[in-house]
Amino acid sequence: MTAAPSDAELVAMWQRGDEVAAAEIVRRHAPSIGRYLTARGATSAECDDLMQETLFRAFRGMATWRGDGSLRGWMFRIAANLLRDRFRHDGGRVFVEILDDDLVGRADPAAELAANESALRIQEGLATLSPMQREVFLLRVEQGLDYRDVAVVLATTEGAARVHYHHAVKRLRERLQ
Amino acid sequence: VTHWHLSDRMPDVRHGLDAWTQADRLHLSTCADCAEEWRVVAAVPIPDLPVIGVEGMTATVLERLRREPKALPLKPRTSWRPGVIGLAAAAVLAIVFLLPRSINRTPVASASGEVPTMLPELDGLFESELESVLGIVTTQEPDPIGIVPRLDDLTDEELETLLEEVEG
Repeated sequence: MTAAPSDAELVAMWQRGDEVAAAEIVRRHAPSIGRYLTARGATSAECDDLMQETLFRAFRGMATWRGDGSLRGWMFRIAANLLRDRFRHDGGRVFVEILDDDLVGRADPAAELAANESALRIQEGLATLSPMQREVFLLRVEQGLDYRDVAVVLATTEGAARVHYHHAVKRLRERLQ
Repeated sequence: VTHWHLSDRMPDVRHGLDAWTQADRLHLSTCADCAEEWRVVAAVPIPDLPVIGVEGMTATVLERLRREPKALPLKPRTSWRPGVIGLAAAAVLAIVFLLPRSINRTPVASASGEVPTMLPELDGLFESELESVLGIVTTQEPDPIGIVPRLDDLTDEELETLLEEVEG
């Protein structure tokens, strides 16, 4: 049994015209991009448009992906730029909303209540963070990106991302106390 | 087990991609900083991954790539660029064609040191050529002022002669 090809190998295959490799890239990364877009306030229709545009731009500019960061982080950056342009064009702001459906469902009503209360406090706490702290924290925790990819998405350094994350956690901890 | 070791793994544990070991759990139960950070991370809801129609999405994107294959320029050309390029080209041409002339030819100046003429044709001449031109000019008799005859001043015979010359 052969190991699954890496992202770099898939990109090379795609650049040689392998459309199956393109489909595999979509399968690997489109869901997380969709989750990111939805979590940042894109509606379902906007999410479809933005995801298609993200993938289109990623495939068309694949030669510019240098491979020094992950393909996922690079595609997140394209999505983040598109999302920012969309909200700027609409004159709106990106709010991070935690919907009722997102809250933890548990059999234990007391645990459910505590979890939901913590989630609401986190939501309130996120609103008090600087945009950079909030974005770093959410990319790291909610989207599961490592610091290197967070730095790629936000055009900053890995060290700066760590510092923003540290400050964000410190302030959110105060909210939960 | 260190704080940074646990902190870096918290998101993966939250996403179910990693799990706490016995040693990690022991550390979390004794380290207030790590326990509080984990409490924050654990309280963040993780939205479900949306279901994507991979085949349809891939087909749509590839079809768009076939229709719009050209990459967009990273930076749009600004309107001043052609003008600047034109000016630069003109400057290069001026240097190439005019500089050798100014180097090879001695500029002509009058004895007083003033610029002798505004005629560019004369500026391009060698001194010897200019001497020749001046020689030709100075050998011609200047027209005497005030003796240019008018028709009223001519005698009848002179008028007859002039008319014959004009009319043939």
